[in-house]
Amino acid sequence: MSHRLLIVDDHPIVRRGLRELVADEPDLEVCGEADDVASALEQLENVRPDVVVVDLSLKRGHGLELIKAIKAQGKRLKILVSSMHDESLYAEHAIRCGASGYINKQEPPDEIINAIRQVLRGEIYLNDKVADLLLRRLSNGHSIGEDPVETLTNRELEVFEMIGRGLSVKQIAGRLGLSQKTIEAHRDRIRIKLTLNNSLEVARRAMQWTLEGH
Amino acid sequence: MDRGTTGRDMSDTSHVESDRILDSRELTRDGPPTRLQTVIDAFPDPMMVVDRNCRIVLANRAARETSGIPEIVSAGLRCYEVPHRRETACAGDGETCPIQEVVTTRAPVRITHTRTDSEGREIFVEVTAAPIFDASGEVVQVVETCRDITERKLSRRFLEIGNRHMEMKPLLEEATVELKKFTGCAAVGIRVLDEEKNRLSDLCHLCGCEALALVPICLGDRTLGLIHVTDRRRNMVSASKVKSLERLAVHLGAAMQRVQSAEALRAAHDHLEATVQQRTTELTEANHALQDEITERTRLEREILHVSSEEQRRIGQELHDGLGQELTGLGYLAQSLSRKLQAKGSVEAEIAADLARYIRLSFGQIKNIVRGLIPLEICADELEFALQTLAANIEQQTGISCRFVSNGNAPLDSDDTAIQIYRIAQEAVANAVKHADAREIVVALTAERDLIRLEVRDDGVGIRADAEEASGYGLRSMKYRARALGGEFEVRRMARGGTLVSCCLSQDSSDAFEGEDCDA
Repeated sequence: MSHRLLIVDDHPIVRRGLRELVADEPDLEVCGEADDVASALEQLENVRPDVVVVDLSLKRGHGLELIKAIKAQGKRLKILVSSMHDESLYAEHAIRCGASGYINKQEPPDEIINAIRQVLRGEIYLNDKVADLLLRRLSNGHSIGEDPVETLTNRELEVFEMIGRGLSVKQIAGRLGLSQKTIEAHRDRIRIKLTLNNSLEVARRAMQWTLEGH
Repeated sequence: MDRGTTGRDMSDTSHVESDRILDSRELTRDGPPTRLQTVIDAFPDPMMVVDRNCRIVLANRAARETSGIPEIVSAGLRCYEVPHRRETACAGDGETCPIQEVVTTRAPVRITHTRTDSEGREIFVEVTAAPIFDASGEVVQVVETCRDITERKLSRRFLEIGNRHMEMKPLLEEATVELKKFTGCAAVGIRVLDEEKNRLSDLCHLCGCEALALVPICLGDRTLGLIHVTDRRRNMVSASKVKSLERLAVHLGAAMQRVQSAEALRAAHDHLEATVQQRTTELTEANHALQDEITERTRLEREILHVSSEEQRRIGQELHDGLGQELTGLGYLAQSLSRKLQAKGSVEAEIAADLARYIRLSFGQIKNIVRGLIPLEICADELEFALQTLAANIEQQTGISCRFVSNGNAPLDSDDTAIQIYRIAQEAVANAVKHADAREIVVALTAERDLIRLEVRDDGVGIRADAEEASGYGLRSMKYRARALGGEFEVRRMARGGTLVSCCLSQDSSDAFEGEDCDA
């Protein structure tokens, strides 16, 4: 018996390519396609897939929204995120939302088939870099399920939220009546708490966090 | 009877024996004049011989005529009664009596007396007196001549006021007062001849003026104006008065000329001052305009940088979200095609596999391009990390050795500075990769006190002389960025070969760039 696959991606050619790729595998079959959150949820009811391959950027809505919605419905199906975005920034978050794996679209085509099989086996699929990152985080005392953003102080959270809304350090300093140096110090503590490499990653993470509607 | 200063009564001449003493009886007798009389009559100024008591014993024609008394000698008048028209001797009126002076000093004297003429004018008379001695050496008589120096004094006065005044109006006012005193006429005016209009008008006759003189004030062949003298009384303007006025007009003309020159000089000076003032104002305005232009140019340069980075970001986004996704799909298709052909034992399976591989390579290239295009947000304290990453990426992408070196943390004072320095490094490295044919690139960030220096060196062919025109935007944008930071930028071929790009800035000037890129 083959496993049923739902492809959620806003690019038709990606869906077409993945469909062809999966068609070569005897143990897999594509049972449906969608390009946004709403149509994906609708398909979910009709086609009852075993695994959903989902991109983060969709026509309307965001891949993470879809993951949360699926989990909220208590469905037992597996979710694999396939995205152009850097896994070091989004993979952990996707896993925490309920995904079973995260694969970068830059990986060779065969790798996505491996990833699909791995999550179907009930395993987590991540590349080595991300896996290492998560291990480091665990060694810092966080649990996988815990959102490190929750470890931020109120002031740090305020700064994080403003960064997420696209404000510059100067603007944040102005709004909070603090010096730029102080804001930069806050941002650095946020960076360390969230195990990020630089301020660019802090900004992306903050924007993501804001998009998710926290 | 007046007494001389010696106390000796000189009225009685009977004891005088010397033939040098003139006898009034001899001089006043009827008949043809004596030879002496003829001689002194020839003298133009009034001349008299008086005894020590001032009694006139001899008078020439001018004396008789100016006094208006023909029998001036026989009437037994005293000298002060004739020209001075006074009852008492000059000495009693605060003036020096020349007769007394001569008797005392036994030497000739020259004294100026002030008096009033028949028209009530104040006139000045210069009296020259000389002693006549008897055989014993006593001064027995004095010969005196009188000369009216009023005009001469006024000439000098004109010279003086001409030197004193700097403007025409007060000069003419003062000259008018003097001329009025001099002529005794009711109305005296000086009209300045307007050379352009060349006309004068006068309504004096209509006003009932009986006496009128208009005396031109000339200087060379130029007529500067007119002295204008009028009076209701007839004969107030005599021929001699006009003659005097004519002579005075010459002096007044000289005075006016002097003042006119002074006025012209002052006008020229004022004009020069005004011109200098205006030029200064114009220069200041020009400076402001230039300043505005520089400000505008700097603003435009920043705008260009901003627009170009926005454009890069947009292109990067489209490549990432559009073309990248398309290539993902195409890669899947190519892979699938390759498998299907392989399954059929088709030789074309190899071609499809190549297709899949090249698509993946293209995808990788796009990723690299996107990485360079999407604007970075770099913290002041992360510049070294960013440059290190840049060097590592370049090495990985191109196979050219690219190292980053630094001497510790450069103390950047803002994120904006860090971003601009990163961009300069990025552009310089890209140029080295594209144009230098280099085997090694070194990115160096060094800090000494407040001075921060970024250097990008390569061991390639060295920058071409026409590189600025040829590479166009790249070099210019590096220059703009350096300037926006208030830094100094230089690109040159190194002596040992290769190209050196350097940007040097001091922290004091590095806050010029107002974070446009950081506000994304």
